Amino acid sequence: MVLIGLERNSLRVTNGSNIHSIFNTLNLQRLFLKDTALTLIDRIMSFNKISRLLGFAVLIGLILDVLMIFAWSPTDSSMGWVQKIMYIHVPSAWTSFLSITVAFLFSLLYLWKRREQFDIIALSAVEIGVIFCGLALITGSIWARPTWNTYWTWDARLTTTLILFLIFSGYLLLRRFSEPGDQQARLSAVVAIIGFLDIPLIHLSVVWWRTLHQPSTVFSPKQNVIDDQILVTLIFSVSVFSILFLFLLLNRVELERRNRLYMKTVMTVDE
Amino acid sequence: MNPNANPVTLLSVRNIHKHFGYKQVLKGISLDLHSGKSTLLVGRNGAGKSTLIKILAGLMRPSNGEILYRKESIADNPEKYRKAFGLITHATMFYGDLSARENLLFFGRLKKITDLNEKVEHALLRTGLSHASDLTVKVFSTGMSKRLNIARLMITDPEILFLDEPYSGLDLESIDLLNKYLGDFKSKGGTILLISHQIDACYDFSDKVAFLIKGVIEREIESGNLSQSELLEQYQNQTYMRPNE
Amino acid sequence: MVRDIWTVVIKDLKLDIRRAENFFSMLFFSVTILLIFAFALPQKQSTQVDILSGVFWIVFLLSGLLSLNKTFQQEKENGCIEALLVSPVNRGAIFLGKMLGTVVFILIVQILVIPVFGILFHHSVIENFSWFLLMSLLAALGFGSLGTLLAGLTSDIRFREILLPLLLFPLIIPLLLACVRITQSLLAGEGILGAGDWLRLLVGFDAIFMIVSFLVFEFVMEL
Repeated sequence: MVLIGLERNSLRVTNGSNIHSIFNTLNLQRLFLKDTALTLIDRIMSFNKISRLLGFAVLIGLILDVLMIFAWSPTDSSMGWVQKIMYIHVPSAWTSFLSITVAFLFSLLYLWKRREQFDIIALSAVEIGVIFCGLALITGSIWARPTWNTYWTWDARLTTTLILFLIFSGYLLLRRFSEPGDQQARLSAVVAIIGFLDIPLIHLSVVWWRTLHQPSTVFSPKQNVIDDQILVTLIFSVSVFSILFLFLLLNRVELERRNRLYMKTVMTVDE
Repeated sequence: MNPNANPVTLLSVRNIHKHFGYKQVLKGISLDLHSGKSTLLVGRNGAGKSTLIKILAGLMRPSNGEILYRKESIADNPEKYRKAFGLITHATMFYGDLSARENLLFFGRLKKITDLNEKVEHALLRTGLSHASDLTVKVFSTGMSKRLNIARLMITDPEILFLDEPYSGLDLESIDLLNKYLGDFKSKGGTILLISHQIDACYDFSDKVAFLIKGVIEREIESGNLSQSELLEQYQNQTYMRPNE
Repeated sequence: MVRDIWTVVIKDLKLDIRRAENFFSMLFFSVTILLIFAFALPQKQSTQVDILSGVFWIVFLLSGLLSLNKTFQQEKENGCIEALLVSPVNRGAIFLGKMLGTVVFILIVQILVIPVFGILFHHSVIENFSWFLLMSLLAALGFGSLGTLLAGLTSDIRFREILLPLLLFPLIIPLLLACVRITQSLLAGEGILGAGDWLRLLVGFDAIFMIVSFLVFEFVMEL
């Protein structure tokens, strides 16, 4: 139990769940949202509504996705059931790249505009990106074991993903080792920007270094080697993961925002 | 013409805010620095004095607000602005492995000072460091490093001075040296923003005293209306007691 | 601008000369790692060209890290960095000055390390001395650019000695791969153009990260 005196009114806060009452009393939430990118959306709909809507979409999407993967799309003739992991592997990799791109854009925006909101979005995107990067690596090794008879191959795209995972884990470590604030936000933004710009070079060099992976069958303009049903399922998976990304991002951003707001409130009370 | 007769606003600080992490250190500082005038900034430890100086020196960006040098935002032409001010902070800011002269020459070159060599020799002479000019700075005593800092101000010939506790570690002779330099500096139309707890040392040439309390300038007093003892009393009241207690 | 860069480079080199222990620790560190490789690798294979170039570049990276660690520690010592930053000098000029200082420092160490490497491992290294030095220069430019940026970035942070390689090494993997491949083709007697694509990649990497680091250094140098 924490007893916090705010200005002349005293507020009794029992635990984190009552935090809303502080925000409402101080009208800080409005204040904080005032100059953020989400203002417009916030006016139309509350965070809770969007979050619930997205959450619902993700739930339905995932159920449909599982049905499509296991009941509808044909089992691969050469690889068998193992090939089904592709529907997790590819969207995970896709989502991680999407996250890193979002982080890159918001890092640039932060350095330009210096709005805390952009820093929060960049941080949240990197966290999600690192998780999906990890997922892509794990599913990749599970897939590699029966297919190439090894857990790890220095295949170009897997290797790039691994390096990406390392760079952005470094980003998160930098966050842990520094104090929150403008300096942390600036330094992390710089790392995110150079990390992102390095990706094409890393990929190119790794491709030249060694290529074992099957060429990117989905997006290559050559003849339609991939089955229509497989393709549709894959695209559907990727879409569901993208919505999942949005859902996670929105919630993580809101969580971070509330956390920082809470810390700021506590700090002013401290005086 | 006496530049003090018609003071120009050299630096204008508008509504500066600064957050450090979750803490707000400066909460809307506005301050004008006029040519030929010096402002003494007093406040408790942690009131945000050093932060304000760092922001004015362009080492930090304010979270909000702007700083105008001769009516021009310092963000527009930072290099021109950096040429116009001198800075003394808690740190000595000299390379320990370079000699006193090499240090002065290095910083002088970066400031693009003309006739640098003569100015360096002259400054070393005036600060009484000529005999030590070829020693590396790491063997200097605190007082010598502080005097070398004064020498750096002499060669760079700034228009604005930001001094963060310049008297700490100075002996009486060096205090006189600094005060004499600051007196000359003011009479030539320079402006000074000074942080110091040693009011007796800097009372004579402070034209204005600003009290910085918890990130806000609570009051500004023309020191002409105040004797040194009154100022000391005010200072102790304002800085060592919380206003609401 | 050029004058400012030059002033910073000269100052850094002067400090390096005054603190010769930095130079010698880097030199002996390189030689020690070379010895460790000589002992750790099987004797027959150690003469193989493929392993040679890998060993050379690992030594380069590890010893280069030492030179990066020192650049900003010198500036932080008496708060000199603040005096540097309030000078009317473009932050980019400070970056280039410190970066070039690091490159020169690394090259001077390499001039001594390359012959030792040749003596311990393979005589063809000494025959290709000038090529090895050129490769060291190309590698030092990219390594120095990203390294100086990240050394400045981590200079205020806890555990910077760990964080710097953690951030730097994944980022310079293209540089490492290019250097290893070009050196392999050098040692195989194909000349530097035996790996023309890699050479282009290396030069491109240097150029991109010199420019990017130059541009973003300003954001790293705010307190």
